[in-house]
Amino acid sequence: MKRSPVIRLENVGCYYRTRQRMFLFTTHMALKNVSFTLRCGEALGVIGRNGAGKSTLLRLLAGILLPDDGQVITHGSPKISLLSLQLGFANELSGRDNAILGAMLLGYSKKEVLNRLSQIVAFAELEQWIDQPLKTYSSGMRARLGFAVANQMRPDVLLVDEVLGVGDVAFRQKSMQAMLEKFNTDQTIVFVSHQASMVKKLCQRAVWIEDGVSRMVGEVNEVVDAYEEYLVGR
Amino acid sequence: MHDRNFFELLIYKTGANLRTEVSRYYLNYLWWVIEPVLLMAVFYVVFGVFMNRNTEHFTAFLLCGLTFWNWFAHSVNNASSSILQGQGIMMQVDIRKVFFPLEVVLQDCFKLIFTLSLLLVFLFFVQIPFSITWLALPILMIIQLCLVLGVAVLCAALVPFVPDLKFVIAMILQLLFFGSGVFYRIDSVVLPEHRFLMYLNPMAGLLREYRQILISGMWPNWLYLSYVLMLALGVLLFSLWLISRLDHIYPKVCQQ
Repeated sequence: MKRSPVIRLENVGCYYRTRQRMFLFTTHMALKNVSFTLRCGEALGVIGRNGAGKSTLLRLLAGILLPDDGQVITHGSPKISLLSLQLGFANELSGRDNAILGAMLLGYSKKEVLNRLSQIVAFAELEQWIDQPLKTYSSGMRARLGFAVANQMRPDVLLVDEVLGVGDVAFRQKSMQAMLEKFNTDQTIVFVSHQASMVKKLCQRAVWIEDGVSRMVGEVNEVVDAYEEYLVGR
Repeated sequence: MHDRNFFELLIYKTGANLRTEVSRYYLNYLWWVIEPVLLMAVFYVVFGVFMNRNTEHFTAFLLCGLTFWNWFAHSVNNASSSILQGQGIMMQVDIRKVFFPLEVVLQDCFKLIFTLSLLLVFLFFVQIPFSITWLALPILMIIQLCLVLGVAVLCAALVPFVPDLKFVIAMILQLLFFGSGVFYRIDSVVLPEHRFLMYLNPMAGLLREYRQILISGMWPNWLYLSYVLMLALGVLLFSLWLISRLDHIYPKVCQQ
């Protein structure tokens, strides 16, 4: 069955200007020529080495950046969001305030957030701590709260950058489980990783980005194998 | 993000910022009152006692100017780097960038409530009896709010492109502080042929009108106020247009 396309990228390029010193700029081409189609309900893996432009690609898809070349065509104005952990967290505020703010930044109304708050707190297992300021939290607790909030997101297209499991061993399993459930449903996902094995396991199709160019798009095993071969051959 | 969610978030975030700001200090919320009281005391001692110019109601004159000047100056100064500081959030969600200056302006408006109440209490009990012209105060404040919003959003929109502007803005505010007649009466200090120039600065005129209604018990110069309002609305509309045009440029610019 051929699924309907949600987002199509056509020869997309994206540049950054970086200031070296005083008035001297250099242009950094994060993406040069990327084309692929994301279809409804699929999990698309994005692989590539560090600095290949994967994060920039996600920001383009999320609508945070606009392309300098080519175009990003969306079908039927879907809600596209980056899975952001600990979004807008402030140390001085209580865990509760941070959770509310984080969820509101993800696009929920205050009422919706308050309805989900107990769910968020329960998932993060922070019942006794939720009214303490965030600065008293251990990094594991922060990560748990961050994940519990982000886990509430239900966009049409979810963009995931590397993170699957966070926190200590027990919570890592739980959060990983929650993420895997998303992959097993109809959720449309773009999953960025440099762990080829994870992409193979979770995605149906993949894109290989090399130095800002989409080298290969297609069935996940073919793309990942070609990528790994390329890495070994270098 | 829908408009309703946007404003809900704006208000919740502003409240959270205010709580964050005071949570560090032992006296907590009390600082919203103590800080303006101390500031007023300093100015009273310096200008009202040491350098008393024998102006009638000088302390009231001074505090009145200071309250409304600080509202303008603090908001503009704080807003000017607000978009740069929102970098962390704007790289993760697609949020309208006007959020960041609005957050700052709202925060300063909240603090104004305390300063303003103190000023009115002072005026009421210490020097001048209540006059019917006080009723014009909300109108003047709405006009000033438009001006504050316009200039704050404009500065916020420009600073990310040239961060150095932040220093320029701070300098201009300093200059305007001396040029707005906060601690002297323009009409008695400045040469008559220069007064027109001074009043081209809308803050100088607004401060005069505030004193007119609060201290002298006279109605303001409505014509002048309507000019200020038109100017303020013009700047506001332009800066809102500018910031929404540049909305998707900021995430890139802030990384330079």
